[in-house]
Amino acid sequence: MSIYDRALAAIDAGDVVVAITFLHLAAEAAVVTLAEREGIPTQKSHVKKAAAAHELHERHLVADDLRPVLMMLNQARKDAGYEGEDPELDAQQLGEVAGRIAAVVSRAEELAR
Amino acid sequence: MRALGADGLDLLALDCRDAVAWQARLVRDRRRAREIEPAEVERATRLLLERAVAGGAEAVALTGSTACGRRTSASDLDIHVVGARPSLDGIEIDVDVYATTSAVLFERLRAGDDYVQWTLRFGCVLFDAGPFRAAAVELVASEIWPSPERKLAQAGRLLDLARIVVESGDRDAAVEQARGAMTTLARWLLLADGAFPRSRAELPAQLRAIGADDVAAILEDCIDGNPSLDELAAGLALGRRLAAGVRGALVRHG
Repeated sequence: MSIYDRALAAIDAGDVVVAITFLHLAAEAAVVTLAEREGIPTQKSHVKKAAAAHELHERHLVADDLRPVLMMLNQARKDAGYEGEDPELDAQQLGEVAGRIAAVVSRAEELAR
Repeated sequence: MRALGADGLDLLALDCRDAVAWQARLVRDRRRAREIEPAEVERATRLLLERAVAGGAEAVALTGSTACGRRTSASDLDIHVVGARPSLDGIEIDVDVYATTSAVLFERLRAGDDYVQWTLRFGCVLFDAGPFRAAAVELVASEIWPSPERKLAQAGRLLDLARIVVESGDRDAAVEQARGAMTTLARWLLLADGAFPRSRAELPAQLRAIGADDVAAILEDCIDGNPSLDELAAGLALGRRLAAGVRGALVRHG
């Protein structure tokens, strides 16, 4: 099962923290795959991966600017994991986030094949 | 230059005894932050401080490894804000902002949260309109010890999450998640043993001092080593056994 599929399964199961974690992982991994092909640095840094997502959009390589999504997911996973705070995202909102990152994940998977 | 006590409470008592002493701490902390921060970290700190204050924050402190001058390649810039979370736009380094209201700050202090105490004991207080000093006065008067139980619950959540990230096969993400989980586990072990946990880079030495050598080794590997997924899985399994109390003998009492 891919990381993205694990995120979808967690959304279906109502496991919000796991869903957020895996949506973040899936989106970052896809952005890194696309960014590396374009020579955009990511350097194992969450903020640089988010900046790379923005740059990919600026270069018209992806339709959606995922920077705010990556920043939001990064903060949500920290709040949930470290602080034990209930994430403010419900299943419907998580589904919408999954929809936003789906195209980037698909594009990265195509390139990886 | 005054020496910092092991748990920071002695200096905190001196610093918060009156408004003049507290103001002197702010001056000292701001200078220390300028001296120890690399240029790009200092720029980010300054921007976040300005944005937080402009947004009505009541207090701002630099915390974590940066505040101790012990940054590693894996360190975020940790900022504690009493007030609204400042925008991260244009910030080019990884930042972790811990933002609460003043009411939540005191609620967490009284509930035994160790991060709030860490800020007061070891953080660089960059701005304070009152809540940090008031919290410091309360901490010194009450001598509240951070709750090991609270930390154990946190460690349990993070160990569970780290296990499934390791299983996903994304090694970089697994190392990061395991590092967070093992850091939290280390903090629990130390609090349970009566030692106040310092910054992440200082934890391995603190762990060895209480006899938790194997946790120290795993944590070191997660900070600046190159652990395999199998090694991470083994380390997390040890952490879960400890958290479950199966190997509680690692914590040396008396």
